[in-house]
Amino acid sequence: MGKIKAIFYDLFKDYRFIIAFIVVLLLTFLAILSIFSPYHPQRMYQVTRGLSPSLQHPLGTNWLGQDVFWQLTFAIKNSLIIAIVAAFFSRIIAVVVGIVSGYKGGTTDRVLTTIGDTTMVLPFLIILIIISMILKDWTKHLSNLGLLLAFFSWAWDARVIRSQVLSLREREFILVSVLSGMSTFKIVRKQLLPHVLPIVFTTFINNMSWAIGMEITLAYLGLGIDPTVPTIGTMLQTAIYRQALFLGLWWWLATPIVTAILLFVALYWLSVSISEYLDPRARFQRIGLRK
Amino acid sequence: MKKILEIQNLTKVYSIGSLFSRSKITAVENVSFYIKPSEIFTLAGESGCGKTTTAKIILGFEEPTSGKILFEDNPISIKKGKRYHFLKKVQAVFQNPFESFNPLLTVDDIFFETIYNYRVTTNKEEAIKLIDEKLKVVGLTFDDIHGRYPSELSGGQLQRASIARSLLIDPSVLITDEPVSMVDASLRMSIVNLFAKLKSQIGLSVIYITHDLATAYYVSDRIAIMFRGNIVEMGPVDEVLIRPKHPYTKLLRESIPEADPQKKWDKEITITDVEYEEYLRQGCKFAGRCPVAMEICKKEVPKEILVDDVLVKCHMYDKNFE
Repeated sequence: MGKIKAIFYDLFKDYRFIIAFIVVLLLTFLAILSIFSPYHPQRMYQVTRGLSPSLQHPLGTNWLGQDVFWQLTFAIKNSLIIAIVAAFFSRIIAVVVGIVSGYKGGTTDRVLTTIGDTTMVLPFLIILIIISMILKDWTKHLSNLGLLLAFFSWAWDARVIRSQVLSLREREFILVSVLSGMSTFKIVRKQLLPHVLPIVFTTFINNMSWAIGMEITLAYLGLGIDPTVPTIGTMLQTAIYRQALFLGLWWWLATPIVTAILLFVALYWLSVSISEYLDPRARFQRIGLRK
Repeated sequence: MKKILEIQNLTKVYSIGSLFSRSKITAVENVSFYIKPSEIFTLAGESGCGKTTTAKIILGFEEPTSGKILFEDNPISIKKGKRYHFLKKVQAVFQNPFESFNPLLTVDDIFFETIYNYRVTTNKEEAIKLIDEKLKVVGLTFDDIHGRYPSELSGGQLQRASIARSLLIDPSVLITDEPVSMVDASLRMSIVNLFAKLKSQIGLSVIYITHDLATAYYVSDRIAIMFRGNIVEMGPVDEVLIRPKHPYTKLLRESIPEADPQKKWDKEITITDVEYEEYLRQGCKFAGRCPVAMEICKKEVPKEILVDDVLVKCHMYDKNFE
């Protein structure tokens, strides 16, 4: 416990981390709040439509007769689910592929690197559009879309992890572990994984914001998630599609835009400050600049 | 005269360069040697001569192109990878003590791993007793390393701990790859003395890999001088280092500065070829630097010739040639 406390103590010296942490906490709180929503997320005409923000409806209501605030809570929750599923599964693929190809080397490495490089150069946006057009029924579920996004985002990080493991493999303590009779699996789990975990954490956050962005892109094109299920992307798409600005309902359009910007900035600052914390050289550089 | 570990005709070829301009470098060429029980055998030579590669091949970290490894007259698979039963008898200590321990784990962790993995005991109390006993051999105690990270210990402490770890499972052969070159001078002798003590007390055989001829002369029984992947001279340490036969050994001897203030070190050392070119050289690899090189040296690889108990790989001693 003392260790965790010390880590947070160091991190809270960075204003970017403080702001990002508060914003993420706030958005998570909103996402959890969706459980207590008095309205159904998909049903229309539950409230008077087109009301401007008031005490009863903090963010007003939209033209479909839905409360924008409660819609937002669902949207954040769903977007975060997609992002976390995508980041989680792509991290698992990246760690497994990176460690296996880095540690095994030889033919295994060549095959896995080729697969990774191929995935990397694929025009993934076009392929995502085609897949979500063909498999519309499959991708409209939150976790399925997350899985699809995961498949397109593991390759970069697998490459980074592979290069780390390649250099770790030649270090003497790995040889000593072999001498101490540890099995390959145990060496990977106990000696290699702790060295790789920092990369996994920071790329997890980066990958989340990438997944949220991709979801918004797909939703804007009318693909991906079922458009009646609120996510940040579908909220934006509905508002634009229903001419929110023309109707004068600016709060309908501004809510998803502001939330998306907040979320992106917060995730970016989180990842930057955490990776700076994990890389002492960058941290010293910043402290030096402050003087 | 039993041989505990024998290496026969070990060869390791690396291919380097791109797909279109590939060239092959023979890092270890036809190396054969053996060690007897309770003996310190030194592999000496300049950096890049294939000492470490030889050690890594014996330990199974590298796969040789050809060759045989015999342990107690039983051939060991030369394939890269797990040699659980072999490593139970043959342990190693590496050069850099700061690199020998995982910086993210405590030092005692690898001690417990060694004991549990080789099933010396499964009882933690007994394990601690054993670790403490082996650490006392090198002048440490369990409390010195318990719960400590490698960064909290000094290089000397870590190197001694590293030796203690290799002794945990009572190996019969210890391969030490430059064990004293990263340790300060005061500790150097105590570590070298430790090897001598282990040899006489528990009958441990040590393969001592070094470029430092002084400690090699001090501690070892037999010595092999390596040059560009070849053993150029091998025999009892007194014979090889006091009366060197191979021109390369002579050169090595001469490059040790004498402790005499009157004597100026004015001998000119000419390095004609870079390492890479020497590796690709036909015939004797030393011919480019050899003061007594003959025409045949540049064409034919010299044979190993036995001169006064010493194996020399040089045309100078070839009777047929004369």
